[in-house]
Amino acid sequence: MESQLADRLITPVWYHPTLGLLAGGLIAIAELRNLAVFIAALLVYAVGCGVLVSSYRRLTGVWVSGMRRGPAGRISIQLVGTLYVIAGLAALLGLAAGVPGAFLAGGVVAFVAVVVLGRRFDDALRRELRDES
Amino acid sequence: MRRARPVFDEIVHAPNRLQICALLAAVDSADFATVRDSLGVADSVVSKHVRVLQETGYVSIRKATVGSRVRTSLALTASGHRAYDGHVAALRALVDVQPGSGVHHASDVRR
Repeated sequence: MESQLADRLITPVWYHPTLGLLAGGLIAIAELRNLAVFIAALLVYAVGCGVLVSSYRRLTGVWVSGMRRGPAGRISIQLVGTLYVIAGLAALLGLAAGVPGAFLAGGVVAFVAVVVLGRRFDDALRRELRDES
Repeated sequence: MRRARPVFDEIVHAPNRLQICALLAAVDSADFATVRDSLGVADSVVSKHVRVLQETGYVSIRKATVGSRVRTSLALTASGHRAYDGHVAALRALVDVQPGSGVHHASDVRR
């Protein structure tokens, strides 16, 4: 049953790049140093994540939270931690040290991190489900 | 991960219900249609078994309207997870597939 489920959990190719664009865009938009624009981006991020989740559910018919026990869950935590570190470093360099383009660079790195770790999460999840069966 | 105490559960044991629980134990939630397709049975069969699981408090049901369609999603509750894990442990104990697990006799399984 779990093995059958693992075959079903095929994340659409656009899922992680879109999530990466949302997360990376949120960091990159801070480059404008405009609070109103940042709040608007935060709203776009929240709505975008909601749309992504419901699209995933509609396509696969299931929902698996990233915060689960096991190797896949550890990759999720790693991803969240990486995004916090990227955002923190970008803020440190951009706001405290005044390095131009720090948020933009942070956004690009965040995009790559989401795509790479997101795909790793999928692989780990499928492996977990197959091992359980 | 903590090993579940083997407890044979007659509600979970019915083949279709065992398959429903196995599927739901692996995910956070699954659509009714996904469960039905995975089992390869009719809507009415899934409905009947899900109702039993819901009445026992093992499965929760959520309905959401998406466009003009109602989507029903199913999830295993905390007690459902406990019952399923315990039942799987009981089945393992019964067939004694895990030497060294500490359970070597069918009488070790609680009903």
